[in-house]
Amino acid sequence: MLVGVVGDSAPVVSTGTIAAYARSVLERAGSLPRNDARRARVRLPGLSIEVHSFDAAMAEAVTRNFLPVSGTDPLSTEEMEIWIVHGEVPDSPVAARWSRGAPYAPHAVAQALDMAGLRAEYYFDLDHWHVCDPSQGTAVQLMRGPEAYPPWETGAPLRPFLHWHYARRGMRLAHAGTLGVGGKGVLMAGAGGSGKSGTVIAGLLNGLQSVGDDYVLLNADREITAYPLYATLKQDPVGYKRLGLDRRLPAGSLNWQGKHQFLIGQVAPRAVPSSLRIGALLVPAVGKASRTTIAPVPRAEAMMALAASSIHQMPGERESGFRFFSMIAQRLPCFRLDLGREPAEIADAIGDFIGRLSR
Amino acid sequence: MLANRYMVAGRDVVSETFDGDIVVLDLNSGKYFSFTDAGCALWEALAAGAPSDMLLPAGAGYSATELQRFLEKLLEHQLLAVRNDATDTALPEEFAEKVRSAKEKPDMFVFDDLADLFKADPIHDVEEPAGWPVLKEG
Repeated sequence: MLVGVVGDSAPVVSTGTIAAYARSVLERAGSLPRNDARRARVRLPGLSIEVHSFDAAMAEAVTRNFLPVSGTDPLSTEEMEIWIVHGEVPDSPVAARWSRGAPYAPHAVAQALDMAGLRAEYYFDLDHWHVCDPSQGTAVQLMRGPEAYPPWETGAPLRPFLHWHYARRGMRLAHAGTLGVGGKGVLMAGAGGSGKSGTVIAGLLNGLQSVGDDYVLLNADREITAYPLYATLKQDPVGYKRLGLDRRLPAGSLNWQGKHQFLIGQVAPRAVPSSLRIGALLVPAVGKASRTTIAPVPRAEAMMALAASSIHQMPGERESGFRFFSMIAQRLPCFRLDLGREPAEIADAIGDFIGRLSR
Repeated sequence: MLANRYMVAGRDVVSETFDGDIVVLDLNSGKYFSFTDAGCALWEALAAGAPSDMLLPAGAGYSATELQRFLEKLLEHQLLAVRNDATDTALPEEFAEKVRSAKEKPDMFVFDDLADLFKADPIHDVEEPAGWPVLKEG
């Protein structure tokens, strides 16, 4: 027996059985009835997704929190079918538990799945699963019951599936912010508290473009290009007030991080561009000076800022992620961005910098 | 220790070079490593399979004791392993020049803020509001 079963009928899996379990989840979800009332189509760069959601909140997040491609797809389009299901759906797969006697070593788990051509991510507290067969373009988000997902799940829905899909194609979801002028821009990477998100919002409020904060798609062909995926922006209450968002946006509750969460369209005066050609990698830091300064930074330091959180936040694909983000840091000029105090001054400094990159 | 021959500990230890700076990632532990300038030269030589008894050329800015301490750190973090075959690879051509012009002693830096998260026991240590793999404090 490849997958054990405990008293409440939840399967129990370990590194040795996870591939068989993942395969069974995909097969079972794929046989569920397709119903137009539960179906949504999301068009992202190079990826057209049909989502079948049996969870109302996740369905709403999928509808609301993406920045879909409008017009011609900038990349060659592939298809993916995703099922969002839970234990109360008749004939649904059952969310397994991790064997309490077995270690969960993410890299070893990812390698075991990779040998079967599969991907999976497990969140212990809720027995919440993302399972994917990238070559077949099928994926399942599996929960114990309705709305039994981690609190961050709705902000960036389907994130592991996008990560695995784009990684297979040599592209990468990056934990980074973007700002641009006239289609040319910069990538900003840094740990929480570095000022990255506040800088993106300051730029948007002062006439700069962005294809997103937190997670963007990077493609590194002849040029390095960032594409928009998610519409979600976040800001802590102090930054929210400093940026004047408390006067601009309707009051709302804070998210699981204690941050305000809103959509890029609520603060960007113009439409989000379909892409930005990236000309530099910036590592922001909350500065002590009144004015913003931008100075060269060692590439190794910039790579660490970009790769560490991007690799850590995405399941599997660690070595290819390390190589990809290293290549980005090797190809782009890298700078430290010491942020001034005034949002408009910060935006002007970055806008001027991007203008100089273009010349 | 200086009589041993070494190799990179395995396929899960990966590295990249950035304008002469080296970053190493242990895919299993999730730890990142970087080196001083002398450390970079030594890592390149060791990774290329150079014999360790040739890692102290005349004019190097470090002693045998300092070299040994550096090797001990690499072994302690499981970036290097002792190899038993006697095959030697020649030192990289620029090795002697690099260690003579190095401004720092051989040393390494460990970035393991994320490593603990990779290795967390998620069943017992998860911080509920943040979710696995964020560890509980204390």
